[in-house]
Amino acid sequence: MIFRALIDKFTFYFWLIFLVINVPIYIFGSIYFQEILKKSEQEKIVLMMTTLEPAIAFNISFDQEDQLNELLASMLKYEDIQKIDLDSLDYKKNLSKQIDPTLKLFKYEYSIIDPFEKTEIAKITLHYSNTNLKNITQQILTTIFFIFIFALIVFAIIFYSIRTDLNALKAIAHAMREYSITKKMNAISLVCKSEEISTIAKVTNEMMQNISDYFLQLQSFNNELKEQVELEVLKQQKQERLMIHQSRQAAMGEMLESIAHQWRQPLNIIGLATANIETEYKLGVLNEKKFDAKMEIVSLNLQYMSNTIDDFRNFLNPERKLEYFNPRKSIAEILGVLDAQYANSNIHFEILQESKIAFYAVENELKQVIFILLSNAKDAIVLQKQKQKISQGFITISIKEKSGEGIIEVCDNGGGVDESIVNTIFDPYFTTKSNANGTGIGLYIAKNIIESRMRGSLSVKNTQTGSCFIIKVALENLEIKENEAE
Amino acid sequence: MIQRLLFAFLILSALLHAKEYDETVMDIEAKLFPKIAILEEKIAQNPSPYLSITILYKEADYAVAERFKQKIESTYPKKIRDKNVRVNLAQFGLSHITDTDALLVLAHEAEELETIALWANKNKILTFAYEPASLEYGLVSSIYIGRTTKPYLNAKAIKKYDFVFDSYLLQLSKFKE
Repeated sequence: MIFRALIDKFTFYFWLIFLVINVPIYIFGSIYFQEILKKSEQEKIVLMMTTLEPAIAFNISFDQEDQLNELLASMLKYEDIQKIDLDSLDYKKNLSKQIDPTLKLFKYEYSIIDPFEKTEIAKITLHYSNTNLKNITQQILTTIFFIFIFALIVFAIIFYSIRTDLNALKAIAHAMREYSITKKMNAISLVCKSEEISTIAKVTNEMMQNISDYFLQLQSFNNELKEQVELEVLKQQKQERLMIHQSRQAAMGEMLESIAHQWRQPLNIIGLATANIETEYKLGVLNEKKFDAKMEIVSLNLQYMSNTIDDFRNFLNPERKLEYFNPRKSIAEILGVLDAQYANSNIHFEILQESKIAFYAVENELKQVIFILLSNAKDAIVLQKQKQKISQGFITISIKEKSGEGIIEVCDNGGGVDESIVNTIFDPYFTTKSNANGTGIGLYIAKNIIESRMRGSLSVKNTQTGSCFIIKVALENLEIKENEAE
Repeated sequence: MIQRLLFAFLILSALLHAKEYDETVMDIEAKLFPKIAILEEKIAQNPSPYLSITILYKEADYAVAERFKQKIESTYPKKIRDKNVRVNLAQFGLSHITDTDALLVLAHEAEELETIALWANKNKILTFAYEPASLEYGLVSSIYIGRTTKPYLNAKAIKKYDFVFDSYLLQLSKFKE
């Protein structure tokens, strides 16, 4: 187990750090530390000679040979000094130890100065080795080695004693690494003496359980929310359908009024044409030619009335068929329905087509939008006339293409939209009409059709005399819309 | 004839009273006494350019004193620690001895030696004795000749009269307690 502890992955970093610290110490110690010690050794020799030189000088000067011998012998006792040569006028001395031939010797020469006459009286040569340095280096290396061994033992014992806790920590780390919010996790089960680590494991288990609970709650909330959204969408769709139906009902009412206007003239003509037929027949003045002429008048007017009914029926056709159509034709048909009303209200209109364009959409839906815009324009003009602000109404419908968009502008001289409500006129149930004619859903339906179904935009701007409603529908994405429709 | 006999008697008498001086000892002392003198603090600090040594002798030792003087002067023909060595001769009487750093006392009677030592020590004049035994009477320094030759210092006199010697000299000297 101890061996395992020493080669464990965790301990690898310890040994790595240990070696990274100790190897440079050893290398630098070998190079620089020895150099420093060598210098220090030389300084010691110099210091020793400087200290002993006066004593040597006095001994020589006072002919104290015995004391000189003792002094030199004491110097030789110093571990690194291997040999001493003294050369003076009166003495020649050579003291030496048993010199190890493997030792590298350094030589240091020093002049002994007479303390009285200040002249050189002797020369002393010290032969010294670095035995002391070697011993110190050896001691340092031995110390490092023992520290190394000591650290090894201490670390092995510590690791052995905390291995259970370390394994527990590993298990926790593994569990945390494997943890996923979408994965069902087993609780961390530990056999651990450490209260702290047990606490960590316990808290981790609780935390994972809490997260799982929260995740389930969140999923439940999401499902509920999804159901609510779907319900709301259905409600909204139902509401929209209802509003569109209401809008159609309103449009039908208006169209019936238009048809009434349209039919008044042909009915008068038919009435006049058929009024005297019976009398003339009884009087015998109705010849065949005259009868045919009157029948021709009746037939033409009935045909006109029939066409009007067809237009009405087409407009109310609930079929949603995507097709290419010319918006000018659609606008003309709507104007055909409203023509009589406009004439009755003294409103002139014109269609200006700058570019020939084709929309790919449900034609009746665009017609419904155009009908709403033209009806509103008529109502605004009528109101202005009632206020005697204008005497005659003008409506201009422009069709053009710009930057890949088909643009239809419906402009009138009905006084425009008040700036304070310009941002709310497209809201549902918002109306400026004081009488029962206004439902407040026309512009909302129009905007909804253009933006949701035709993927275009409907906006309004005021002009000097009235307002302009602008429809913009992209032309280049028709194929995409076709695919979506399928 | 009587005059000749008287002269011969006087010479013989003088010779009989004269002490015998060893040449080797004289050489050693001539070499060491100036060195010991210059290692005494008061002498070393004396601004005088001379190391003045007076040899105190009795009439019978005049020739010895002369020879001593020659030995010292020949040993130190040049300066010793920036001082020239100047040697004078003087007979016992002391009153005429002035301006000297040290006295080299040759053979004298015991009382005379005591008088010399007392006078010299009181005047802080270093005294050297040819005979080491003369330190018994209060002289300060001599040369000990035994197995080895060492400066011989009178410890009592040094302490009593505050003579201060260089520590290296003290290390290699023998002391008379």
